[in-house]
Amino acid sequence: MQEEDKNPDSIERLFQKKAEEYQIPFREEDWNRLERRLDLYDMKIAYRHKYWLAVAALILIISTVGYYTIEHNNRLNQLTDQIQGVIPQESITNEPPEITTRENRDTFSQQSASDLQDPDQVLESTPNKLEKLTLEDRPEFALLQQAGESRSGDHQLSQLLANFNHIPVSPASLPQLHPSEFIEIRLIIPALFFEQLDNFTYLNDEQTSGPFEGALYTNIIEDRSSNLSLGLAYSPDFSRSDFSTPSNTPGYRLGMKGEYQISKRLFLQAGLLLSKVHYNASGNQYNPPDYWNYGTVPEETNAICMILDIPIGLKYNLLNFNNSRLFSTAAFSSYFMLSEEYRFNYSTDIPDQLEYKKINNGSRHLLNHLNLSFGYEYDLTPKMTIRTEPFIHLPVSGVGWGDVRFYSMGGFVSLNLQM
Amino acid sequence: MFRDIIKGCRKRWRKDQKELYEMFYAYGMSITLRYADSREEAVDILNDAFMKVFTNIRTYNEHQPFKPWLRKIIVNTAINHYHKNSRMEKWEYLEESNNKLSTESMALSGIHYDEIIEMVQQLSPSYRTVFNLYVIEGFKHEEISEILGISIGTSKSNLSKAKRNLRSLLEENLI
Repeated sequence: MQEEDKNPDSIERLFQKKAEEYQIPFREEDWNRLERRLDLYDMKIAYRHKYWLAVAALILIISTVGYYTIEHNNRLNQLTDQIQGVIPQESITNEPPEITTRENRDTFSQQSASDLQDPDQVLESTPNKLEKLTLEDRPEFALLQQAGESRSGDHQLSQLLANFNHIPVSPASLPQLHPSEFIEIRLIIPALFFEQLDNFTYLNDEQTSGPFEGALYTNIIEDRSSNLSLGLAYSPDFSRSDFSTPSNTPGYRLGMKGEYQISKRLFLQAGLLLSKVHYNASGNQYNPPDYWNYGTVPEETNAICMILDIPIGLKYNLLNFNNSRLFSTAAFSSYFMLSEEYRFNYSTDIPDQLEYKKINNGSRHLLNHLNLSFGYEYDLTPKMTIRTEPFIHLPVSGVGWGDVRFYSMGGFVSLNLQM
Repeated sequence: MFRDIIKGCRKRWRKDQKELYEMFYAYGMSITLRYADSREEAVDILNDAFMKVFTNIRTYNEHQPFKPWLRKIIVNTAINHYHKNSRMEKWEYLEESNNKLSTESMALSGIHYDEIIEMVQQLSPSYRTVFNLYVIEGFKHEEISEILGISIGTSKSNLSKAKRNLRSLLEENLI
C-alpha cells in the first residue's frame, strides 16, 4: 500500500486517463426528471411567498386593531385624567371638612338615614334640590355626563366608571357630596352606574365615628375573584403542508387552557392540548432523517400524528362590551410527538417499497409553531364564559420524523371558569 | 453568454437551467457514473447535485470557474449518497485476485470508457468510493478517512482491494 501511495501504478494511470475520455450523450428524459423536481421546488417557493404574505397580512390586521385599541384607550385615559384633575385636591385630604362637626353630621346623617336609603324617594321628595344642583355646580359630573352622552359603547362608560371609582377619595372628603348629587349621577349615566352606585355604602350615625367620620364613603371596588381562570377547549383541526396538497379528514385539538390576568386587558395564557393532526406532504416536503427508502421519494405522504401541544403566550382584550369582549392571542406552541403514522404513495409501482411506518419516539419540538387567533368571549355567568376562537398555527420549523412544516387552522370553542 | 445563463438560473428561468444542465451533463455524468452502481443511480446523483446547484446558484462567484464548483458539488453529493447507502450495503464482494496484470497489456488495451466505468461499477461501493476519491479526485488517505468516516488503514486497504479487483476484471476483459 505504501508503494501504491508513492508510485501511481498502471491501474491508476489507466483509470485517470480513461476518466477524461468520456462521451456521454445528453438524455432528455434525465432533464425531464430534474424539471419535475424543479417545478415542485418553484411551487414550494411560491407557497412560501404566499405564506409570508399571509403572515404579513395577519400582522397588519393585528397591528391596525391594536393601534385602534391603544388610541381608544388613550382617549379614555385622557378623559379619566381630566376627571381626576377636576376633583379639587383639597377635598382629597385627611382633614375632616366642616361637615364633621357633630351638628352637621347629625343633620346629614338624619338626611342620610331618611333619604338616602332610597335615592328614588329623594328624587321625588327633593325636586328643588335637583333644580338647584346643576351640572355647572359639579364639573366632574358634567364630564361624566359628557362621557355618557358621547359614549361609543358600554365599554367606554364602564372604563370611565371604573376609573372614577378608583379616584382616591378619602372617606372624610365625601360628606361634601350631597346625597342628591348621587341621584344626579344616576340621571346622567343611567345603565352601568346603577351597579356602581350599589357599591357606595351609606353609614349610619353610629358608624361614622372614628377615622371614617362622615355620612358616607365609597368602597373601592375590590375584585374578590382570582386572576386565574381555567377552561376546557375543543377545536377541529385542519392541517396542511401547503396549498397545493389536498385537504384531509379533519383532526381535533382537545384539552385545557388556563390564563392569568396580568393587567386590565392582558393575560398570560398556557394550555395542554391533545391534538390529532392529519396532513398530506408531497415528496419534497418530506425530509426523514435517514436514507430510509433507497432514494425513492414517495409522491405523497399521508400522516396522522398524535401530538401533545403546549401553547404559551399572551391574550389581549381588544374591545370590551357589556357582557362580552373581543380578544386576540399570540402564542408559541411546543409539540411533543406521541405517535406518528405515515403512509407513502408512490408514482410508480416499485416492489418492496416501504408503504407504512409508525413511530413512537416522542420527539420534542420546542416553540415550533406560532399561534395567532381572534376570539369572542361571552359571559354566561359572572364567573363562567364561553369563547369561540378561530386560529391559525404557523410553522417555525419542521415537525416529527418527516421534519414536515405544516400549518393548522381551526376554531376553538371553550368554556372558562374564573377560579 | 455563460454569464447570461447563470443570471437566468438565478431568476429560476427554466430555459437557462436546461441550458446549463445540458452544457455540463456529460461532465457531471462522467463523475457520477464512477460512484454509482448503475446509470439510473448516476442520474439520480447528478440531478441531486444540479438541484443543489440551482438552489444555491446565488452563492456561486461568477469570477471563479464554474467547473470546479460544480465538480465539488457533484463529488459531495456522491459522497452523501455513499453514506446513505452504506447502511444498506448488500454487495457481494468480488473475489480478490492476486493475479497481476502486466503493464504492457494495459498500455496496449484499447478498452473503451464505457467498459472502464462498467468495471468500476462492479466494485463494492466502499472500494469504488475510495478508489475514485484517491485515484481520480486526488484526495489523500487522511482526507478520505475523514470524508467517509473510516480509518486511514481501511482507506488504504479498500484502495488496494479495489485495484486488485480491477486488475482481475481487466484481465477477464483482455482474455
